[in-house]
This record gives sequence, structure tokens and C-alpha cells, in this order.
Amino acid sequence: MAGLSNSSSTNSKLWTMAERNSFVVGGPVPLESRAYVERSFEEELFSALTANEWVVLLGPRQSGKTSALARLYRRLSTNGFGCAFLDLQAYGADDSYGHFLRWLSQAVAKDVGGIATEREDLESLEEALEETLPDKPASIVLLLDEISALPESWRKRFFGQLRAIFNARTRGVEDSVPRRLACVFGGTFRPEEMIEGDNSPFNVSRYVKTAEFSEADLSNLVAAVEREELSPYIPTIYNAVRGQPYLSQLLLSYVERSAGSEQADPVEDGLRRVSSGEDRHLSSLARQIKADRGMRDLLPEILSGSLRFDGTDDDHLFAEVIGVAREENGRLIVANSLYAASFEGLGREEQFVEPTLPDRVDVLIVTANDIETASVHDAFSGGADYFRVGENSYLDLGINSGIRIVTIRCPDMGSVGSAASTLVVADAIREVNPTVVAMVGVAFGLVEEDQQIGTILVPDEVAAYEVGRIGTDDGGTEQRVDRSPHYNLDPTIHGRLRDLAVVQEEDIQFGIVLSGEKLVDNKAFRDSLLEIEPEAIGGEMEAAGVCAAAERARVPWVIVKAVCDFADGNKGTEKEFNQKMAADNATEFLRRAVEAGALSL
Amino acid sequence: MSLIVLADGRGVAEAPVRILQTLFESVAACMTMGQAEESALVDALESAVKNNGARNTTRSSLNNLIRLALRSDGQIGVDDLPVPPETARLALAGYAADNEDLDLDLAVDGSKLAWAHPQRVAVAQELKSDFDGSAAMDLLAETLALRDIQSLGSASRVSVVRTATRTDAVLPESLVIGWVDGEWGETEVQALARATREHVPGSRLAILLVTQPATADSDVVARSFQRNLVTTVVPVDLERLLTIAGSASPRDALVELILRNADLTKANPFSTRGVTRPEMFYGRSSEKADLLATLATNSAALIGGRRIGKTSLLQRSAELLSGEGWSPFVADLQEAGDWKSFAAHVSNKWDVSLPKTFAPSHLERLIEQLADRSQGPIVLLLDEVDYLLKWDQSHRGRIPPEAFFRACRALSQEKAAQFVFSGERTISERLWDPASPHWNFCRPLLVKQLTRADSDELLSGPLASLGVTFEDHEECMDLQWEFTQGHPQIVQFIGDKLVGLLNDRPSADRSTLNADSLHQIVDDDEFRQHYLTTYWGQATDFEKLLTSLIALGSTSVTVLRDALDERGVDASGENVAAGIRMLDLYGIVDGMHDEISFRATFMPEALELLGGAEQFVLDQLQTLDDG
Repeated sequence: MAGLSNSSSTNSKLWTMAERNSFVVGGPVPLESRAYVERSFEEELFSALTANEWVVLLGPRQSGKTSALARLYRRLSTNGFGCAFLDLQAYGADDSYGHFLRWLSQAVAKDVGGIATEREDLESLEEALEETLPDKPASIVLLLDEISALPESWRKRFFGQLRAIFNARTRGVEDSVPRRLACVFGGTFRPEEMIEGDNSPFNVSRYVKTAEFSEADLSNLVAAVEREELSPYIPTIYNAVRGQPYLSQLLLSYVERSAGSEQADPVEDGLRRVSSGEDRHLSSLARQIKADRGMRDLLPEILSGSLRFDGTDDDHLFAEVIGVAREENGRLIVANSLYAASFEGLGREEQFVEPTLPDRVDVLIVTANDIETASVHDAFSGGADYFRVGENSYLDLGINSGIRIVTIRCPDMGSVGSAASTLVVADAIREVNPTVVAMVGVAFGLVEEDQQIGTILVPDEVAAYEVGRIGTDDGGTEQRVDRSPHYNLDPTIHGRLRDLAVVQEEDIQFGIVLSGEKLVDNKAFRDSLLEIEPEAIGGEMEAAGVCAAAERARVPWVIVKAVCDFADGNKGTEKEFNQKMAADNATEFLRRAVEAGALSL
Repeated sequence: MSLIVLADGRGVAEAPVRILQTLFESVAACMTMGQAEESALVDALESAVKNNGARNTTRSSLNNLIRLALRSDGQIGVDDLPVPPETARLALAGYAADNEDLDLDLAVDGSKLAWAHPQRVAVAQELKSDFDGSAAMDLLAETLALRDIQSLGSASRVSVVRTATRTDAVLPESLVIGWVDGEWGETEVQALARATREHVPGSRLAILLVTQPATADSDVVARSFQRNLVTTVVPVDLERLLTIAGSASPRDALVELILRNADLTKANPFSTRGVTRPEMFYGRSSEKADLLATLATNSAALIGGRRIGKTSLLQRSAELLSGEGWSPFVADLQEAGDWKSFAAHVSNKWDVSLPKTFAPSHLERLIEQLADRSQGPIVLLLDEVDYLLKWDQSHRGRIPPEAFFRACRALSQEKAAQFVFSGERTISERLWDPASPHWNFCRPLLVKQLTRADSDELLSGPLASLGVTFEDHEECMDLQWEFTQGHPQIVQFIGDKLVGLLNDRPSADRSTLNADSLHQIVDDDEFRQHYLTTYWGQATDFEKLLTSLIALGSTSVTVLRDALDERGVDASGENVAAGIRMLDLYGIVDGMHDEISFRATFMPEALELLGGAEQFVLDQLQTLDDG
């Protein structure tokens, strides 16, 4: 990230490793970070697993679930458990259940040991695990994060098979999968909507909720990062956000950065910045509320402060899960005073008029995973209304710098699947008729010596490397002939983006980006890609589909990606943190391009 | 000396009364400061006044001599005691009677008292002077009748073996035992905990044989340390090993150590989630008998509410049927949402070959394959069948609806196989519908709450096997019945919480519970919440509304219908009767038409959590309006 760290832009939102402050704002807290305070729910989680229970870990976004799971992984792994961490939103490319089981088998084998199954005919989770798991360690825990990301087509089947595995724990041989396995299901979801009650593994799991910071936790946090001088601000911060983990760290971070300035009340200033939309936490939560009918209906009652808490009511429980409310003295009340002030208007009926297709769409932004999607939602503040056209759901991000932006997420990764980029973008172009199609997200780097995690890649050419001819040479040896279609960036947009990079003095890399169906995490395969395109600067999975669909409809496209790994077998290392950094960097550059008029055609 | 009061150091405070009495046997009353403060001092003084300070010092002196002789020589005869033979015989007999927990053998004529297994005690004594971990392990294995000893190597100076136990509510099927010679501490305990998790699936308990007990201020005796371990490790030093070796019930002696030293969350016999372990399965004798009798002529369906124990009963029934000469085949159909997935599941599970385009007509082929390799008549036990049934009933295609269950009925009527289905709402509704093929095909067997005796046993039995008793047993059992009405999952919930209470107590104070302990649990909102969600299970909003109206005094279908009408809810008598029938299935009410009453009698009080029955009626009416 050398180029970015030399940036002269003082208000740059782009991240560099050097710019991290004492507190971790956004993304999971790295294992080695001191800015971490263990909370009581983590002990409950550990205790449940050592008592051989299964666990549902529910909590709001940005409440530290993934950070807690990472630490749980480390704790269990160093104490004799075999532990596999599976971020289910990272799964994609093919929607068959058998494919998913092979993916799961690979992920488990990588973390726990054992041999990943290659069987094409697998339909049983228990069988997949039986084939994969090593003899030792005997006790296995699967940490399944973001389970709501699983495709609906076979989600019930997966959960049904998990429930059957759970039920079989009391019989069979001692070393069988059911006797060895425990699961943690993490996320922000409604368990009742994942699967019917009688077939649900959640019904036999212990429910653990993430907890907010106490004032003492915040004191411990500032002590851990050796910023005790911030202690006087803790009561004010706590009163405003009641220990919400992300907001607490964000406000502490604001206060820390204000040191030496003449800021009269840095906490008040921080709260103003959050409320103004500079940070996207509130808008993200507002979107969650709007997207859920039960939450929309409940919010006015929550804000009234007189709603009796009913622990048998799914809506009451979900309000706690997304973090907008908490139970206190038998009432379900708004979680903190910041939310109370921010969501006051949200409860009014007129706010919930079903949105419709906007009159015009200037830029359609396409994403392919939750992290990319969250980055886009956070970066554009013109609005936040979902609308549907046909089978597709869009989010209208409103007018940003005079440009109407709408975004859609491809449910599946890759270009080829039934819900992957080619068909989704083709549908979207037909349905919302955008002037430009833009895709932002993450990629792997191919020029490791000149790139870092977060380096932004703008392909002036996309090569779909899957296409080729496999022939045989005279000696009988396999011969591969590249026939990959190449797609070129619109020259006007290309020129404007290069100008923007120069003006902003940022190291944006332009060049050929390879696009294919494989989630590459193998150095030998990565190197073989460079034989196809020696000049390639990076690779990813969806751009080929976006370009193909856009070019067919004669709509200009632009792809902005940033490096989240080097496809060298180390994808799992700080994966989510790196993906978040990369997605944020790519999105921020796109936002600046919109702001600078680079996409106004 | 008649009285000693001991200052409470950490070790002394946690010492059981029995140990103190052994240590100071010649003292009439011995107690810690804590015990003195509670009531022991007053009791001792009252007793001293009553007995005028007199006590039989001869008896206690003789007991001391007997104890010492047993320890050093393994036996003692009347000639070894400095009293006339008749007195000596009485002393030996008295010692044996007072120490029933010791593994003693009194000669028929009372002339000699010896260890029943003198070799065990001798080895334990020898180990104290010359420790050999392997020999200590062998002694423990022999004493506890452990089998299949298998070395797992060593970890941080700890030699580790895996053994098979006669599993019960407390002891796991495989018990890991480690031993270490010399100094030991946190590192060795952690190494054994880790090794246990590495080698034995789900094992929560391990034993560490050591030469010396942990010091009172050692980390390894701190509860917080045990809670941080992935497996709770119970240190057994040589004195404790001697106690186990000389115990009439070595298993109980070991469990006493577990109770006092383990993190009980990991040695908790209760399970509040999922299928009950065979060791924890209590009662259901009439349901099992009904099932056996039914299968002689018909198929059966086990129907009942959520968490009532259908799956556990189905699994235990399979074992019973096997013993009765049937050939049972069990399948959990959680994931079988259509015929094809049913075929895929059972093909794999029962190792049969079925066409990929499986249709109900292929069931016959399935039964033929099973019959070819079975001795007895075939019975298929199909758990969680609602999902498949729903699909079978509603699919549209070339084959008519409910073809799967029609095929089952044909096979049952031909006596080719019998079926036992288990499910909840869907199967119940089909069985109650005279137009359904299920109506006269399989006999519904309702799985409701446990009987009072079984419910008592489900709570007190596992606690007893952990060495825990109720001070006021009858009162506590009355309370458990009042608050559970025999719902097995709620009984286990209370048991689980009671073990949690014990776990928070000092070691010496873990062996008894009382009515106050039960009240601590049931008076909490968490219990009410659990009670409501468990009993209601998958009840609809309408059924919840009926529940609250019954709590307000409506006790017949007619009155309920009027009460609904008054509140603007248009419901037919049939609708109300169907709702009541489902509440009856859930074990919430008894009676169907004119005399409806709560079987789950705590329900009105549990509804207080939601603002009371009246408030809940209003809330439900609002919910129904919104819906």
C-alpha cells in the first residue's frame, strides 16, 4: 500500500496498515490486536462447547461476532479440539448441494487436517465429514459464520442433515461423526426463517447473544491500548451508545484523533458525525429495519418505551438480534439514545411506502458478496430503499453527486451459475436500464512485489481465462491454447479514471485482470494463469460475466477491485479483515469517481 | 476433649464433615467456623448438656486401634484388641456397621475384621511409599472394573490411557486416565485435558493420578481454572486412591471426588437439548407396552408435542423390539422432504439398493431387501415424518397424493412390515381426519408427560448418581411436579440448573439440595419463559389465545367460543375443538369438550411473564388482527 500511504489526501478513507489507530473500527479485530476486550458471552460460548452443546451465536452486525469466533477458534484449537472456521458467505460458484459439500470438505480438511473428498456423487453431510475428518483430534467444532448466506435451494437440506447428525449423538459407535461433532451457527438472522422448527438444528442448540461493552469493559479497552487519557470520555460515550461495540470503538477513535486539536467536545462531535451519515452504521441498521416487515411494525412501539417484552415473540427477539432494542425490566426499549434520536422518524408510517423503480438509473453497481455489498451500502448516502423488479431485488442508493445509483448483489459467485454475474447483470440491464454498469469488490493480486492488501486494480481489459482449447501436440502431450475473450474498458471512462488517479496521487493499477470460475487459492495454479496472460495484474470471478452482459447490451462497464490476497494458499489468514479493507478501498475509489463525474456519460 | 472449632483455611473450609470426624475421632464434636456459625455449635452444646458431657471414650479408642490395624496389616482379630474377647467382637462388629462404605469383611463369628479385597489396599499402601503410575492405574482399573485399556502415549510428563467404563449418568463410556510422578500442576492438568479432547470424542471428564494432593492455594483446585479447561480433570492423589481402593463402592467414592472437584457443567448428567442418552431415559413403560401390543396387529404413530421425548422413545423402542425378536430399522427423516430424498437417505443408512427414480411402489422392494437379511419380522421406525408427509400429501404429479403412506398401509396390511412413525402436527391432523388413509392404518399413541413417579426419578435419579440428595425429598418432588407436570424436558431443565447451582458452591457444600434451591430456579423469569416456549412448541397464535382464555376461566368449547365471540373473533365450534385437541396433544389441557382443564397447571402463572392471561389475550387478538 505504498502509494496509498503517500497520499496527500488528509481526509482519505482508504485504509493502510500504518493508518490503523489504537481502536479497531470496521471488520473483525485482528488476533494480535490489543484493542480487544473479552466479554462474558465468550465464556458462555466456550463453556457450552466444552459441555458438548451446539450453539447459535446471534448478534447485531458490527457487534464482534467474527472477532469472538476467531478467538474461540484459537482457544479450542490449542486445547485439543479440531476446529474449522467456515465463512459461508465465501461459498459460491455452483449451486449444487454436492458441490457445497466438497467445498465444505476442503475447508474442514484445511483447518482440521484430513483429506478433502473429491467425490462427485456426495449428497450426505455426514458422509462428507466421515470421509474428511482425520482420526485425531477426536472432538471437532465447526464454526459456521454468516449462515444466512447459504443458498435457499438446499439450505433446508443442509440444516436437516445437521439436525439428523445431532439426533444421532446418543447412538452409534463412539468415533462416529455425530459423537465427535459440535457446531456454532453465527450471524444476524431469524432462526425461524432458516428452516421449519421441527427440523431445525437451532432448536437443539444453546442460544448465546453477543453482549455490549460495559463501562468497565471500555475502561479495560483504553487501558489495553495504553490510552488511559481517554478514560474521562467513557461515561459520555457509554451514555450515548450504551456500549455498542462498533460505535464505542468508533467514538473512542474520534476522541483519540482529536487529541491536540481544539475540539471542545470530541464525543459530541463524533456523535454528530455518526448521525450525519459520515459513518454508515446507522443507515445500515435502518436498512435492516426497513427490509423486515416485523421490525418496521415494531419500531414505533419500541421507541414508545412501553412495549412489554415477550420472549416467545419472534419479532421481539429479532429486534434484540439486530441490536435496535434491548430488554430492560420486562420492557423492550430502544438500545441506546443515539438510536432513539436517529430512528424517531423511521417509525412513521409514511416512511414505509413501498419504493418503486426510480425514473432513471445512472450507475448500476454490482457486488458478489456480503462484505462488498456492505461497503457499497456504506459509501453512498443518497438513500436506501429496496425495490423489486421481476425476481431481482435492488437497493436504490439515491442521488449521489447528481448521479442516481442503484445496486444489486449477485446471489452466487462467478459468472456462469444461474444466479451468477452474467445472468444477473443481463436481467438488471433489461430491468433498470442503467447508463453504466460498475462492479466493485475484491480480487487476488498477481504482482505481489508491487501490490499490497488493499491495492486498487482497475482493469482496462478483462480476460475470461476459462475459455480455451485443450488439444494434443505431435508428441501426444496435452496442449492448451488460450481462446479467452477480452473485454475493453470504455475509453472515455478509462481516461477519466487515469486522470483521477493522478490528481488524487494514488497508486491505482490499470491493466489486464483475469476472470474465471475458480476460487483460486493455490500458488501453482495462480502461476499457471500468468502463462496465459503474463501481463495480468490480478484475478477474480465475476468481471467476465459483467462485461459479457454489458457489452451485449452495449452498456459501458467499469470494474474496480482491490487486492485481498495473493491466491497463494494463505487466503484464510485474516481473510475477513483483508476483504473488508480491499472492498472499502475499491468502493471508495468508485465513490470518488462518481463524485468527480468520471461515470457521467 | 469434647469440642474443637477449626479456623476456616481454604482446605479446611472445603473438607467434608466425615473427614473431620475421622481426623478427630476422639473428639465429641468437631466443626469448622462456618459450620459453627450455621448451627453445629449450638447443636453440639445442646447435645453435651443433654448427655452430661459423657461419651464413650473406650469405643472411639477401639475404633482408632481397628482403623490403624486395618491400614497397617489389612486385618484385625479379637486378640489384637486390649479388651475382653466379647467386647472386642462387639467393637469389630460395631466398626463394620459404622463404616458400611468401607470394603470390609467381618468373620461370621465376629472374631476377625479384614478388607474384602486386601490386595487392593496393600497396593494402594505400597504406592504411597514407592509410586508407580502404571501400577496406580492398574489398581484404579481393577477397582472400578475398567476395561479395554489403551495407551494414548504421553503429554507433558503425563502418561495417558483410555479405558471403557460401565457407563452411567455420570461416568462416560470412555474414561481417560493420566498419571504423573512427582511435582504436578497447571501444565500437567491442561495437558491431560487437551489429550482427552484429542483422543476421545466428546469426553468431558478425565482423572489424573498424582502422588500428592494439590495445595489449597493451587490454581488447579480453583473453580475458575477448571472452568477454563476443555475437559474437567479430577486429581486423585494416593490418599484418595486408597479411599477408593478400600471403598465398598469404588464408583461412588470416585463420583464423590468428581462432585467435589470437577467443573460440574462438564459432568452434568442432565441434557436439555436433543435426544436423551440411554442412561437418562426414565419411564415410558406403558407407552412401550402399548407399542409392542399394537405392532402385533397394526402399525403405530407416536405423536406428541415438541421436546416431549418422541425420538428418545422411538430409539429405546427399537432396542426393545430387537430384544423381542423384531428386526427394527430406524431412520431419522429430518431431511427427507420427498420420496427421492427418502430413498437416498435410507439407501445409505440401511445399505439397500433403490432406483434413483424412487416411487412409493418401490417400498416393496425395500422391504424385500431388508427381509432377506433379517431374522424377525420387519418394523420400520421413521422419526420426524411430518416433513415427508406434508410433501406426500401436497405434491402434484402422475402419482396420486399420499401414495407413500398408502404403500405403507398396503405393506402393513399384508404383514410384510409394520411401521412406527413419529411426528407432531401434520401426522396428528392426518390421523384425526377420517378421510385420510392414515386414519385406520396406524394407531396413534400419544406421547405426553411422564407419570409422577417417573418424573420424580428423572430429577432425583441422576442427582443421586452424582452423590447429591434432597434434604426435604418429598417437598422437593412435590415442587418439581407442581412446576413441570412431568414434562421431561422441563424436568431436565430444572436438573440442569440445579447442577449449575451446585457448581457455584464450595466443594464441601455440593452434596445436598433443598426446596430453596428449586425455588431459586422456578421463581426466575427464565424458567417461565422456558415453560411457555416448551409447552407451546409449535402452537399457533389461535391455540395460544385459547390457552389464555382457559386461564381466564373458560372451560368448555361452548364457553370458549362465546369468549372469542365477545372479543370479536369469529371461530366455529370445530375450529375451537381442533385447537383444544392440539393443546391436548401438547399436554397443556385435559378434556376435549365440556370439561377442559389445565394439565400443565403452572400455565396461568407462567403467563404472568407476558403480563398475565388478560393482557396476553389482548396481545394475541392484536397479533391475529395484524396477521
